[in-house]
Amino acid sequence: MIKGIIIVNNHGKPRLVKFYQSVESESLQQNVIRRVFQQVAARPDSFCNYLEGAIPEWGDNIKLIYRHYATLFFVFAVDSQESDLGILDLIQVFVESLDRCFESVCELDLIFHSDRVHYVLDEIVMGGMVLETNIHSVLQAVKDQDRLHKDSLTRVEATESASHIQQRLGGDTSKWQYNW
Amino acid sequence: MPKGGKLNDDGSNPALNTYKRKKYVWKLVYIHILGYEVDFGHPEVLVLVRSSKYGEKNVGYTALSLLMRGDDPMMNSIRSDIVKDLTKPTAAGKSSAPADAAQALAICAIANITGLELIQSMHTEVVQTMVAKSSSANVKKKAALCLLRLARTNPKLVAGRDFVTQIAQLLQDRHLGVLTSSMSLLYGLASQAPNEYESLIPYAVHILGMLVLKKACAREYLYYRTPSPWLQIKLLKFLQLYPHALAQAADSGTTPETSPANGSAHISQLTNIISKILTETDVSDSINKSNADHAVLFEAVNLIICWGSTSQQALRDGAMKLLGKFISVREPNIRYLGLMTMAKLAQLEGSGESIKKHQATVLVSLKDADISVRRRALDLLFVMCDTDNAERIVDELVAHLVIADAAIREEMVLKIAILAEKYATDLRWYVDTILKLISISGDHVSDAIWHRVVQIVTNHPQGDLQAYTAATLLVAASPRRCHETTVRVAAYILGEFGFLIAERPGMSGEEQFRILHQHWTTADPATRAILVSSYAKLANLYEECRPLVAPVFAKSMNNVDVEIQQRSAEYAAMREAFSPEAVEDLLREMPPFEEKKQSALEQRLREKEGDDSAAVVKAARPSAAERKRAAQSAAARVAEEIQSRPQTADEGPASPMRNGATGGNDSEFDRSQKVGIPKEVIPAMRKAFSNLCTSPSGVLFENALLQVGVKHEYVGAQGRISVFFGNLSKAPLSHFRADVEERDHLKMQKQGTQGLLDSDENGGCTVAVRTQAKMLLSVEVVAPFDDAPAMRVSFVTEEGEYHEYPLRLPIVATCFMEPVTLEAGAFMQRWRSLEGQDRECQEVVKAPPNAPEIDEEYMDRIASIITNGLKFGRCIGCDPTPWTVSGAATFRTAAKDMNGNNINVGCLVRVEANPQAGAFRVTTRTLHPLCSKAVKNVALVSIKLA
Repeated sequence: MIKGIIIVNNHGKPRLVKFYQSVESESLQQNVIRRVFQQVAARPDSFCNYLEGAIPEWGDNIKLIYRHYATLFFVFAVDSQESDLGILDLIQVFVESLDRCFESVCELDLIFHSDRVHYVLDEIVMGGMVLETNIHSVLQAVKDQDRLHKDSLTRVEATESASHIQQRLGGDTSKWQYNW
Repeated sequence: MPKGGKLNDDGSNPALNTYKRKKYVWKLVYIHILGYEVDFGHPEVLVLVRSSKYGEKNVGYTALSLLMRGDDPMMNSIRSDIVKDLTKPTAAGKSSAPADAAQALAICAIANITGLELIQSMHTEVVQTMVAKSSSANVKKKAALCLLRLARTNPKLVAGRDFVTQIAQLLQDRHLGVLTSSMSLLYGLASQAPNEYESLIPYAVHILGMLVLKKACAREYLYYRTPSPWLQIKLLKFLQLYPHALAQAADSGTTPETSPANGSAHISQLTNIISKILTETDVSDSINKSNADHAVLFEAVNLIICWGSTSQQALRDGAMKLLGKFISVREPNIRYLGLMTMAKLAQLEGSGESIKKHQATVLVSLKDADISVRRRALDLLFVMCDTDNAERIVDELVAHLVIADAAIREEMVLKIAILAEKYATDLRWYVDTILKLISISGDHVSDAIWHRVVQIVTNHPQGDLQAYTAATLLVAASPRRCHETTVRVAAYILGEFGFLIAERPGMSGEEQFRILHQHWTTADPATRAILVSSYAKLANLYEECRPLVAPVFAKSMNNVDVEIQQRSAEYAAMREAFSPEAVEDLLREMPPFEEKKQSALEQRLREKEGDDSAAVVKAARPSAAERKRAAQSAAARVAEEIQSRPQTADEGPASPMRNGATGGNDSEFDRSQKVGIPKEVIPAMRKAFSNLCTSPSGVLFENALLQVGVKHEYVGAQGRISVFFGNLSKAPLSHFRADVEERDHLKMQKQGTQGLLDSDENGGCTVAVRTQAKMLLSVEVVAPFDDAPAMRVSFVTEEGEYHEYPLRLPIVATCFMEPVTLEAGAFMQRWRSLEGQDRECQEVVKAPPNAPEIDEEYMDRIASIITNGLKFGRCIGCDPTPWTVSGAATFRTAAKDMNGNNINVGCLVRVEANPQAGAFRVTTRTLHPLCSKAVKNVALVSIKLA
């Protein structure tokens, strides 16, 4: 299974962190991220995309599979049950989905739309397992969510304004009663 | 964190509107990701989860899985809300888009949040959702994965529950997304209990066939023109769980009742699919396309490896050829995976030769700049190593160690040490290799590695290994500066085996001390502690070292380190506190180490790499060289034990090696319930054996079932031994067999009751009640020896109990002695000429506790033991005091020298009594070390019995 996914920029600032196997504390989590970054960043792009080395917090035999795109490292930490090349492809699917979602994605998108990034990721990987690999359906699911999101909010705003008035009235009367 | 304060203020405001609350929570998430502790604002997250608006709910759930853990107390309050979201659409019986979406969110959160409590309480709901007709594809696939997550965290929850039909139903879904998730679930469940899901193989093959052979795949599931590589990978991985699928299909094809057409049809289709994947994967320019194709290809190769020899030869050859290509390409990922997969392939029988062809290529990868590639290359080299190429590979590795960087050194050192031990045809090479390791990379040579050297050297007294190691280490420790570990090994080995080289020029005891002691000032406490012990041993052996060692002990008695302080204080006080014999005993060389099944090094490797690594499997398998050594040392040990048994009190009746070596597997009775010699008869047995060594007839062994009697007589180098096996029980003993070990130094002819000498487990004769089986041995000795031949007696009682007694026949060296009477002058002349390291044997023995005081009468008894028991001629006149008995004899062998004369060995013995201490010192001097040892042992045993 995928133990965790980390997107970190060239300077070691995490942009997305998703641990599917949680570690004991915040500081340990930061520790893991720092170590992962240090190991990955030290390798030139000509090296292979695999790095063995235990992350004790996740157990032994954890392999880091990563890809480097411009300013960002996409790192997946996986155990031995996953296919090595399959995970590389999965990273590509994730990045392509983000790319279509944001129309040529860049680091800033991950910062300012971190909600959308999470939604996209949740459609691809769930609980450390591959959920969907078809970019179309990933994007469709995200789009559906957006629509639901909007629907619910407009509907809610309408009801909200109604209830607002009611509330205000009710509030007034209660106050009035209370004052009495 | 200036923002925090503001957020905190915001959070306490209950009247946040939707937008602000969402913004607030997202800020929390972002702060969390950046690494700051977020321990506030959680109630806002809960408010969002409970919201009826999808927009809020979505944010709430995402934040929930990022910010909170399953064991968070706040989770309790939110649980019912999650259940509500999960069950609403199923309960209502119809699905609406928002309800579906909320359900999906709930499932997603359950899967993402680690923490057993939440997941456990919801598993029934999740299963219901997964199989409900009303669930949409999106919900189904999420539910399947959620269930898998549950199975992984707590296998007990799903164990024993029948999911086969439900999964079969899911596998017929047309939606590839649902298929991928269900295959993940199936693979996860099946890897916990493969047998339960075996019936689903045809489904998997069918799907794989659609994807590979027919390329039937929805357009959007093509990833760079490859039909859903992930689904293919999952299918292939699932099939890898059934390594015997091919063999079983072949079997079932021949038996009519198991629908043969169906059984073999899907297997033959599977073989087609695999060969198609192997042959039709071509190199592509697009890196992503090639990635996807190779991902499938590697899994196919893994599947072939899993099948092993049950797969077609063509497939294996194809896989081998491809891997050969992969490990020489430039693309680092493919090369990395190629090396990794080839290491797996190397475990297959018969793949060794074809892999060895690639040795040069692998060595190139060992020098790659990328550590991941180097690690894999190292692993592959380790796995492909065997007796033929071990020296070359190990030398290459050692050469590479010089330039290897720190990250990989420790692993390399460990693996080199294991290989060198495993494949050493000459153990001196092993010792040299480890010394090289220490000098190149001493800091990475763990204690376990040098401890192993000590163990191996101690346990292999054959040849000149011990002397060689001592000399080599003395040279290695000679320079003023050398590695700490070198000093440790040298100190230990010289303390134990330094005496073997003390005669060589420049290696005297004094010199050994000087060389070791030059490191004293720079050594750390652990090393000093070892040095102190070695000094004590040196001082014990060489008079001249005592004045050198004494000041060191005196000074170290005040050392801050407790261990050093204690050791030196004890060693210094030892000479005053104990008798010289006791000191001798204390400082005697260490007994051989117990051979453990798994060496400490292998254990370490396992810790580092996990159980299923190819290297660990490899390390656990004994090599030919190892087996040969084990056999040699087992033989040596059996001999040793036979000789020493009368002297040591608490030893088991039989050496474990012998039991193991004789264990058969096709016998009709249960050999696991083997009955050996009961502990309580062992002392009597030892005494009987010792008696028989010096008397012509007697009982060798007796218990309630069996009595073994021996009668033996000798003329010169020849002897006749009759052995009687009497049945004392009330029922016949069946399958009665006696197996006498044949040794090079004794030519033996055996005769016996019909069947008695059968070597077959199920053979043997039957000994009726109150009768005897007989065995007659004619022996001729051809070389000196110091042990007694082993005899294994086995039989089955009427109750079906299998008994096996390892005994020894009292055919010892002194049986073949011919007394010689020498004049005092001649005796003393020969006595002096036979002085020297390996010609003399000496040991002190206490008189038995219940013995009378040592007086003239007692000495007469000793003298009669020497003359009658040991068959030595008493040399009267050369004894200076009444407390000494001297004797001489010739050991006759039937071997001829170049002139055709029989080879004989002259033997001298002297027993000196110390009436005050109640002890005897036995000294033997002969032309042959084994003779000296043998005579001394028999003399000791007999004196103890006197």
